[in-house]
Parts: sequence; structure tokens; C-alpha cells
Amino acid sequence: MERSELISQLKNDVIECLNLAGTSPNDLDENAPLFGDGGLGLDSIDALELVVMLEKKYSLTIEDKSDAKTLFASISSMADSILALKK
Amino acid sequence: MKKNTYSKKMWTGRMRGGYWGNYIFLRLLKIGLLPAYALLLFVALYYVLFRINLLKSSRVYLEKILKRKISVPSLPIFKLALNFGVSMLDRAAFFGASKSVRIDSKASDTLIRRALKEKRGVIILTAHVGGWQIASASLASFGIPVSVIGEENEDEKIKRLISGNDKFTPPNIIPNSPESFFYAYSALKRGHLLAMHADRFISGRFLNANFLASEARFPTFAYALARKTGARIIQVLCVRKSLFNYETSAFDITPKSGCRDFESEALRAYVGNMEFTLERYPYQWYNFFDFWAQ
Repeated sequence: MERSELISQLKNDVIECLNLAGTSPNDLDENAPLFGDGGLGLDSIDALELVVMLEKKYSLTIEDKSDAKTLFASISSMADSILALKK
Repeated sequence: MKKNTYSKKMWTGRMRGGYWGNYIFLRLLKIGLLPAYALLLFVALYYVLFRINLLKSSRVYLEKILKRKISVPSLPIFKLALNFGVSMLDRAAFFGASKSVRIDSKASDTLIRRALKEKRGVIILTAHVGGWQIASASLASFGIPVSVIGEENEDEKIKRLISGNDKFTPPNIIPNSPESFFYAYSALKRGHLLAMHADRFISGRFLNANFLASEARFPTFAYALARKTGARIIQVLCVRKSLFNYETSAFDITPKSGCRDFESEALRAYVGNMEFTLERYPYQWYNFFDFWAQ
């Protein structure tokens, strides 16, 4: 799967798993931070929903704290982690 | 479940007194706990008389638990401040290899061991009650990785001063940030042990629960994490039963799998156990802000 295609799919996944009603994939900036100010403003429970979704759909698990920080930086970095896993 | 980004400047649990204040207490602890307690009497009195702003919010809690009017300053506030100081000194003495401070954690250890055998991960929920830090020492004895969600909020100099006496391996601290929760989730799925406080709501999602006859906000992340991972939730409370002697009690508050109201049911049990404990030990709850004002 191409990176751009995966990013587009991830945007749909994020909208669906977090029930972001009224948000379209185009509204989501793939490079915006997922958490904190200036980004999507997600919280800990949202993080948990994303974790479950990434594990179930993309078999992505993490064992190191720093990996988690990289993965959760943005939708782009989520896509990069998934692609790296598939290599 | 409600979502809130509300956050206000609140009591952080950070040690007061600065480097030299802590240094003097630690020097006294080398002589023994009683000389340190003697100095603490004056320090607690000083805080009640001259730094009452730091303590006055505890009036709300004391009125609820003692079911009577409390003036500011007053003897109950002094007792609460003194008990808090004693728990801090006991902690420093305990982690400094003092044999004076003892903890009986048999009951909680048994329950935690039994839960760990299920290999589904265990979330230990604590509260700012009694000697919670002393209770954390026994977590290292289970022979599996332990992570603690919390903040390292002490000044570096004070941390070095205390850790210089530390005979225990510090647990793996996971900062209280969303990125860390991926790691926490994975750790639980591997059957590890995760510990956190669940009595202090700062921001994020919360549920209201009736605590000491009034609605208060409690964080819900731990319960959501348990629902998603299937981990057991063991609530551990550690109180000082008598001079130098602590005891833990533990409660399995995991709702039945598939319970429709999983988070609320677990929270109700958590709050109920805390009330039961505080009714017996009213001067061992250390949240020095108006818990119900949020």
C-alpha cells in the first residue's frame, strides 16, 4: 500500500474509531500533532481507542516508551510505523 | 463519560521546605524517627499558624468526614498536617533502610499474586491515603515488570537527597501523557503490573461519584484501560495503624466482563472502599485542595 493511500485510510480509521461526527478526512492534517494544543486535541481515552484500533487492524504493538511517542506524533508518523512494520 | 479540559493550579504533592528543610529532617532521621517527629510538631504548627493558605482547603474534607463544622485554623487541620508530615518522614525512613517503619502487606500481596497468575495484567489503583509510597515498595517483589503512571515532580536536588538513601529499585515511571498510554496498554497485554493514583482528577475524562455525601470528579482512564485490556483492577490502600506500623488492604474492584456500566461500577467500588477506610482513619487523606470544587 502506498504511503498516501495508508494516510487516507488512517484518517478514516481515526474518524470512525473516535466517533468524530461531522469531520471529513480532508479536515484532518496528517502532520498535525494528535495530542496537546495546536493539534487534534485528543486525550488519554482517545489514545486508548487508537491503540486498540492500531493493534486490531494493523497488528501494531509497542514495547518501548520512546517508540510510543514517535508513533503517536501525528497520522503521518502512524503511517510510517505501519509501513516500517510491514517491511 | 464526560470530557473536560479544565485544569487549575492545584496542590501538586511536591515536597515543601526546600533542600535545606529536607536535609535537616534527613539528618535527624539518622538519629531516629522520634527526634524528627519532634521537629515536625513545630513545623506543622508553623504551617497551621502562618501558612494556613496552603492547608485551609482541607477544611471541606474534614467537615465531611468528621460531620461537624471546622474552623480555620483548628486542631483537626493541625492533626491532618502533622499526619501528612509523619507519613513523609516514615517514607524517608523506610526507604532509607530504617527498621523502625514496618508494613504488613500480606493481604494485598496475596490478592495481587492471585491476579497476576491469570496473566491478564493487573492495574493497581491507589489513592493519596496513609503511606501509599511505602506500599509501593512491595510491588517490586512480584518478579514482573512494574510501571507507574505519574509525574516525577520533585526538585532534582531533593530527589538526589532522598534517593541517596534509597535501598529499593525505583519503578519505571510513565509520564501522565497520552503517548505513554500506548506503552501502558502494551505492558498490561503482556501481563505486567501497572500502578496509578485514581483519586485526583486534573484534566481529561471524568465521572462524577458520590464521595462523602457530595458529588466529586474522578479520572476514568484506569477503568477504561482495564475494560480494553481485560486487566484486573486491584485497589490498594495503605494506612498507618499505629506508630511506625503500616498495613495495606486490597480490594478486587474489577466489574464482571461485559458489564454495561464498567467504568461507573468500578469507580463506585473504588470510592466506597476509600470512604470505608477514611471513616476509620480520617486524618490520613492527603489532598490539600477543595476536592469537591471542580
